Amino acid sequence: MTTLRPFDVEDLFKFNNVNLDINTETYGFQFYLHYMINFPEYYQVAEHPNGQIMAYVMGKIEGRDTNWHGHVTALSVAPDYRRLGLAAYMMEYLEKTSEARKAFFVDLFVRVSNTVAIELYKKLGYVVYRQIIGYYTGDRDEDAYDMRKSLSRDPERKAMIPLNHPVHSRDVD
Amino acid sequence: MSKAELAILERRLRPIYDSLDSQNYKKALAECEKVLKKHPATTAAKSYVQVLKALTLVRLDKVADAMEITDALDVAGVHHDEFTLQAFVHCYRDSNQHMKVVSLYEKIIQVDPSENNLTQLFMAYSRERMYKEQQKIGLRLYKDLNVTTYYYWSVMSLILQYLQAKENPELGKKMLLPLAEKMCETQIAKTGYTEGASAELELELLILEGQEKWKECAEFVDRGEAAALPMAPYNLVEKGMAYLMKDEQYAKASELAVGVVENMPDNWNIWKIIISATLSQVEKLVGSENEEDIESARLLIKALGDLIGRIQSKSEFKHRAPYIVPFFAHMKLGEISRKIPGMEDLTPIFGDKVKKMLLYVEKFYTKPVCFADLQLYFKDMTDEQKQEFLKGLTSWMSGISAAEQAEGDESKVWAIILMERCRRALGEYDKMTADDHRSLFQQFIAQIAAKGRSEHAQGVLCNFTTAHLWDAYRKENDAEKFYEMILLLEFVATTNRTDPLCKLGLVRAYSGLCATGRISALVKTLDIKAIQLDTMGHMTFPIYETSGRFNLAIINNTQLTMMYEQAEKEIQDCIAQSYRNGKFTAIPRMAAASQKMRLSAQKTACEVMNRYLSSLFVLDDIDQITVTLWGDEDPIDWKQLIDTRDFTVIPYTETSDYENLLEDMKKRTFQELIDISELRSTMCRALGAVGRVTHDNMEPRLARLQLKMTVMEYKNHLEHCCKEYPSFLIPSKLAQSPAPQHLAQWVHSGGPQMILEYLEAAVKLVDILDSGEHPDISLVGTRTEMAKKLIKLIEVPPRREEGEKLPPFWMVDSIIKSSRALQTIAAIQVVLRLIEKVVLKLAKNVPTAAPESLSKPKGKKEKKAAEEAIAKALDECKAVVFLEHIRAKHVELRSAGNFLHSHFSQMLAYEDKHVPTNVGEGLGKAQLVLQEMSPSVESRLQRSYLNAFEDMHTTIKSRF
Repeated sequence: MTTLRPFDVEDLFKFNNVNLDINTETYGFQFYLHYMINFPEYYQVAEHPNGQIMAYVMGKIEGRDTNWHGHVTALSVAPDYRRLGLAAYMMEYLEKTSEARKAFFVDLFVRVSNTVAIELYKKLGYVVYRQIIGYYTGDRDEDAYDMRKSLSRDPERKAMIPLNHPVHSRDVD
Repeated sequence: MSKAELAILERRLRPIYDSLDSQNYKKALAECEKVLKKHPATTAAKSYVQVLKALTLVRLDKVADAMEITDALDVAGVHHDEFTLQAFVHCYRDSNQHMKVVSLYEKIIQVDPSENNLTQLFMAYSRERMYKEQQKIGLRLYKDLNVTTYYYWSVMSLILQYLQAKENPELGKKMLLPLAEKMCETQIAKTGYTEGASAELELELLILEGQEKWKECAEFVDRGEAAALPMAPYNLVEKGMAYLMKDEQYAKASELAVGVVENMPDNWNIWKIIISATLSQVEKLVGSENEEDIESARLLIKALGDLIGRIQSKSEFKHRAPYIVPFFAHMKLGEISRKIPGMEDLTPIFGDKVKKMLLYVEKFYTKPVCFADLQLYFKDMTDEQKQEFLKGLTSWMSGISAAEQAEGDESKVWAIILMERCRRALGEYDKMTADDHRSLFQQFIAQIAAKGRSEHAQGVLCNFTTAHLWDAYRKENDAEKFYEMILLLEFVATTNRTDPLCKLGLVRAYSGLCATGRISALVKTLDIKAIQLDTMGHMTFPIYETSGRFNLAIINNTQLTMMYEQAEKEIQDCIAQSYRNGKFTAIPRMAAASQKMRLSAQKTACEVMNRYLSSLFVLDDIDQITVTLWGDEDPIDWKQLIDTRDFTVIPYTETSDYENLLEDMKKRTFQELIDISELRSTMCRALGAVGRVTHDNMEPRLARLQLKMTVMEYKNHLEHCCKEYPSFLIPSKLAQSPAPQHLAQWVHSGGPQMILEYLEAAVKLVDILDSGEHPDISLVGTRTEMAKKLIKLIEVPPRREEGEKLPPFWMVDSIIKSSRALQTIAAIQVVLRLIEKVVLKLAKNVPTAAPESLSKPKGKKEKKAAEEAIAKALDECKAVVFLEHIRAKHVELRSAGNFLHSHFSQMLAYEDKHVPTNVGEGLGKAQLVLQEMSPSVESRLQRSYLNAFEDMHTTIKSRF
């Protein structure tokens, strides 16, 4: 029972129930608005009939040639709205949007410690493409996994062939 | 400037840039002086370095000095390079003088109308919402450069003018939007749609929406090229349906929505369209007397029932929406003005409500969202239905309890949570006895502490349990239950890494206990930052001030203020980016968000408190104090301020009347935030006005007028607060309430009134001195009078009968009183210093000592002259005596400070417990869980109290 709608500036004033989650980062205005202006179709909010934000997905499309892909920048579900398949629903939405934009694959970065999310992405068909050293900095420095899933434009799933060595965050474009 | 010249300049200025970047402003200032002295001939860069110097001064809070420099340079007819202009912009933005950015570029385009300067002016207008002016600049840019984008900037400016013209929207609709439409059409006819972009489409749709041409809007999004609009195809379809609804094409909207819902059965938006479209049609039909129409209405309802049934059978409980929609339809049907004849009972269509609800519970109880889904429809239930539902729940629960449960399966606990949430929301808890409540609490603690309990379930259980205890505190002022709640929250917070609610609950609870140390730690753990500082700032805002920790208050407020400045800058940058990329749809909403940041009540409250606390406790120089008290901005329009506080983070599970309490709390606490800030602000302005009378650069008549007016404003607002916040008023005690402001305590402490007396004395003093006379000491009252009032003010230790024990948390009230007493003493100190300055500045020929005795006069003339001389000398002597009297009053203030400190020591020596002693009585094993937490909580509280007194002692030592 979800309403998916484009992210609105006003959501910034009421998304605390989602962003207080320890794995969800809160950024400055520019970050959110940049996505809202440039990738509105990739920035969707799931709203409960009571008006609360249940979850949001934030993404973009980028790259060139066979690297033209959808990217999941953030996906977060508020604790009270978990176990409803919202994350999978929103990922499917983002994949469909990327398919429509003729992307080759979808990728995302996740903390190596976030096992729940990693398992979910694996279940949705994503593989760990590579490990990125020192990707997360701040209070909790940590590596990230770059996880990928090929779309129909990459039938041989070339984008999903894992790298056999980790890369440093400074080498990631 | 040549490349070589630029390189030299860059080398010379590098130390300034580095110092500014590293926030070493004193060094930056020295570096500026060095360059200006060493290379005075570098004319090309002279202005630039001077503006950099001004910027450094702004960052050093010496705005007046900085403006002296910029005012001399920012004049009409002078050309400035881009670097200098940017430095000017930083100066003006950092000192909150945004209109000066506008005037800077207005002047510069007269001498250098380059594309960059015109664009900058356009953006400066945009920031100030001067849309008419920006429209002209957009057109000028288009005419000068023949770039279509600029033409559309001008069109967008027209749309914004329409959105801004709230007073006369019809005029905007008839004049501005048709003009924008015409402009768009002309340009599209001329250059066509830009390939791969959506600028024209976005503008066209915005214009149509503004004109409320919903039919055209619906047709517009149906066009092939609408796919280029910045939204997902799915959003576009929904938008189309929404337009049809607005155009009252209900049948068409419904038909489309029904087609979609077959494939998207969980899409609530689509269901809402179906229900609204059906009901709108039904409402029209039942308004008619025609039986055919009424039958059509019946058929529509039946069709809706059939659709729901069909989707439900396809869904088979994989989705929730088809099972919730009958409740929604039922509720909405109840809202229509006329019932459908022959269809008064909707059970045959939508099923038995209670049975359906119980079925919903059975199917979805393991989802935490289940309660939120159902809660929306509780208010639509009759008392009988509620009882039937609760009965059904109890019987269902016994079945669940009896069932086997695999290891790690938490279904049972989610069933308990759901059932208790429902019972509470349906008013069952109000009927329970105290013993029943206690027993329930015991069971909850057992569930929370159960081995293997997931962090999520634990968090939800804890939140629910504490809501229950908070209620007892709110209704019965039960300190023991309040403390048990803290202990339980601490128990969960120490073990549960992922649940933020227990930490938030603690911040809320501690905000009423002056537990600043623990609050700081919790806020850090919660990682509250960026926009969250605004929306959740209410949880911590005044606690450092009320706890007498003024430096910490200033640091926190500064952090918050910086967030607003940064946010506004970032939003403006995004608006500029939107114009450049032709992404017009988002501009109006972003402009509104920018305005929200500018007009946030929380932001203003922080700024005012910082001005107030810095003047009283940080600054020494009386002139700087005057400037800070007065502020560098226009008077605040209090009615314009916006409430951005988010109260939805701490959930609640109460009966429906709680909504009214929440709404009332929001209004009252917002008003209190405004009122206390206005009180501080009017006090600051009045104090500042006293100092301004002595400033040479002030026009004397204006200074006097401002003094009278600001003192009057302060007096009026103080009277308003005394009336609106009677001393018996209890601060809002809902779990969602913001940290208490204690305005009632403050305005009835006698402190603000004492400050008013001295301010009024200052007004009279200026009149006396202006008339050439000298003041009498009676103007400011005697030392004894002052001492009496101060004694009352600093009487902070709690009162008690001999042998009587103090209640739990007895220290809190004393800390708040001490903090506010200290603020009063500091404010009186400032006003006395200002009064001294006024006397020294305005009194003519004030002698430094008493006049010498005169020789005996001879004759009438001499006698008269002698008498006059004596009178004059005595009068002058009065000024000396007056000044001495003021100085003696400073001694009284110092004594008051020292007495206050001795009270601190006295209170710290009390042996009374700070927390309730009978914790967890009658809770069996759960008592141990709570008691184990108590020593560490009590010691943290004590540490916070000690820190508060230490900070206040340091303030006393350094200021009095």
